[in-house]
Amino acid sequence: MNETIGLYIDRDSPLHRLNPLTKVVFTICIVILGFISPWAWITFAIPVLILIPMSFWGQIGVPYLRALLKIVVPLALILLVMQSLFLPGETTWFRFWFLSVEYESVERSLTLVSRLVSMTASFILFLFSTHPSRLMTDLTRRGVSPIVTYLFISTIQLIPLMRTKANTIMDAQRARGLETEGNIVTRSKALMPMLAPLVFGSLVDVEERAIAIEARAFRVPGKRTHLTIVPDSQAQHLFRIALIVLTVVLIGVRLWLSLTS
Amino acid sequence: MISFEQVSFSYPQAQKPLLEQVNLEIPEGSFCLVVGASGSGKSTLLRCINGLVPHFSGGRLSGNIRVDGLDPVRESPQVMSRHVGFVFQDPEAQFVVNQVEDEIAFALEHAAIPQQEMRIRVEEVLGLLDLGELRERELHTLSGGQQQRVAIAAALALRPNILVLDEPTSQLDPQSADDVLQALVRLNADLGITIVLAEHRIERVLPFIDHLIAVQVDPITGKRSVIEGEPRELLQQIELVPPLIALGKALAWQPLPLSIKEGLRHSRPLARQLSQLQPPQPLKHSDVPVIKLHKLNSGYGQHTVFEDLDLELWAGEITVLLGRNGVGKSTLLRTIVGLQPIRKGAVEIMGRSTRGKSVAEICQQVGYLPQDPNALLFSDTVRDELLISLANHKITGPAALERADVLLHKLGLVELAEAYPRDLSVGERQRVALAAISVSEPQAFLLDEPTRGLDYVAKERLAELLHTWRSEGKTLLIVTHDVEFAASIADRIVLLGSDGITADGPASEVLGASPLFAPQIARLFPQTGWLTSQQALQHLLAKS
Repeated sequence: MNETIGLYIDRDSPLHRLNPLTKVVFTICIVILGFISPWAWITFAIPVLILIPMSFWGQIGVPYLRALLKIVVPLALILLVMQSLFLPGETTWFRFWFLSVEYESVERSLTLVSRLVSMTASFILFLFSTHPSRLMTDLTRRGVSPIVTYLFISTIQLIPLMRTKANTIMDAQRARGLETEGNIVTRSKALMPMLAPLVFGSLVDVEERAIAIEARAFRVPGKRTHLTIVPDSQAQHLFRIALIVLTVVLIGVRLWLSLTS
Repeated sequence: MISFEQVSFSYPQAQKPLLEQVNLEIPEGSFCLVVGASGSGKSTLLRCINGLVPHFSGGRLSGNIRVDGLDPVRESPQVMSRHVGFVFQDPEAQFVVNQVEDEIAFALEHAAIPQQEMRIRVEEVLGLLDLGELRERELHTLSGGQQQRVAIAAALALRPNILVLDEPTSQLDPQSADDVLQALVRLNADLGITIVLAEHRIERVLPFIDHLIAVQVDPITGKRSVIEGEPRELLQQIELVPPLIALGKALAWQPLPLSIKEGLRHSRPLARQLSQLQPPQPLKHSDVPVIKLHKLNSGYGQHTVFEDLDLELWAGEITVLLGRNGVGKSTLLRTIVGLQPIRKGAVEIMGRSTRGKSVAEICQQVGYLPQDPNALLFSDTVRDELLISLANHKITGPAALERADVLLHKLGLVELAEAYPRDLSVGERQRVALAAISVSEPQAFLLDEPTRGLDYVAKERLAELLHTWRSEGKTLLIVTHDVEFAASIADRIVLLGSDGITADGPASEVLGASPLFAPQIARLFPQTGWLTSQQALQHLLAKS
């Protein structure tokens, strides 16, 4: 059975077995790489040449591609069009009615969109392949405050809970005659009756969980122990160091390039 | 083990104290039940035991509390967690991680128990709660009963001497609830753990307890009092009790029976008298079905929930749909109102197929109350809730105002018309939700688990409302796990199994013959057709 927690997709793959910290470091480095790259095409190449092959290595290629097409591509297209039309520029490329598209605005919007694409694509891959509990266990063992990891994991857990709650509320409101389907006006009218119970219900849930962990030794001062240790290896340790060094070097090169030009 | 001496408590900004000069003495190793109406302060009382009140809640607390030799007001809930395990109503709302073993280890990790010792303790509680095979499962894949057993295991991991549970079975079906209760009985009997349990459906727990606490609210002054003692003695002073106790008290059975087994000693001689009497017959209904299901099929994705289901529901009749969890009772209601698509077959309402109609159109004729009334309520006042439902059905202006007022009056909500719905008690919120779905004056009502979280008083008021609707000729289909409530309202019982409808007939016949769903009175007087203590008492007292 495929079980999903937050966005996690359960598979027994080498990518899934990597230590969560390795994936955290990798994701952060990829995002930085996207930001310091001088050309948009390099940033666009990251998802295509690195992330998508990695998703197939992690046996989550199909759902990953589907997520990219459903979330990242539409967002990127909208941003690209809007930015190209409204960012100021000098060299007019073409005119249509009262709209004009300048060469500089297209270039800048491409850079912006390429960064957004590589950033969201790497986060999605990370969330798809990293079990929240393993991440929390590993980070807490490495000395991250349990309050920080708890905040992170409870946010992830909230996603499926809120989804279920939203469905229940929508059904309840439809049963009292609310139209939830149709044109944009009908749909936006249906939003308030949906949102209020969802927000209040979720606040109650958050408070209940806070009380529950309070009664279970949460926030006791001092060190913690751990039932399971998430496996890590010397090779992964070296890989993480290499990634960090490489990123620092690349930042240096980029700074030097921009200073000399 | 647990003692309260002159304890009073008020929440911040509250005008009146919720607990006033409470004195309690719960002996070590006892199995203690706490009863009281919803909103009476049961949860607050329980939360004083591990210091959540006042540490988490704020507010003013006076008097002395001693728990396992400690003062929970001076110590923090974190320190108390080694002495008192706490389990809440909704298992899902209290989980922190995703997996069974990790969840159990959570408190141990935070209390810095060494890994070796932690392994031993996790094994120990997995065994105690019979969870060994589920250790690697993700929590959201477990049934409600399994989840609640994991919550109990997690609370026990720090080896507390006391386990406090706040309505742990209120969200569960009868089988899962029994699972949880049996686990508690074992913990109490085998390990001597002191158990303090708040529960609404007290008939399930009475056979196991040796100490009872009742939180009572004076209906006139609103003053709260807490009394405690030996269950049999204290039950004589409590007004709303399960049918077995009501009968035992009325007929002066001594000693007062707490279980059916004890009750049978007294009831057997009377059963012969009762069998000569004619049990109440269901009212005659009209001949035209209001709702007709014809070879109905429904399901989710690949999974078929029910197939070829035929059912006719009549005007002026209350039908209760019973069945184990997962057989499709809720799906059936959802399919009738169009929230779940019909795969095959048809639903007819007043002789017309619902095919092609929207949920809103169907719900003008059939009012549907989902399990959680909170999902319905979002307005600032109770009156607004009704006006919004009316506006959904295109009724506005003075006509809407008039109709809303009539309905508020009819459902006894006039005094709450300007109240904020989310501040109301569970029973009142449900009544507002019922009002909201009945504004279009539907011919039929489908209610999904309407007694969930209701105390005895709220249940009685709900039964009265359902009887009023029946006398007005409405059709009622009610899904419930509460067999005592079913016995008190049903004219007809439909039992749904995994292969479809397994029994359908008058309540007295179907409930009396069902080993799983028989109410207490039917167990005391088998094969007589009597279902409620009122019915039985009326005839027994008349005869004597």
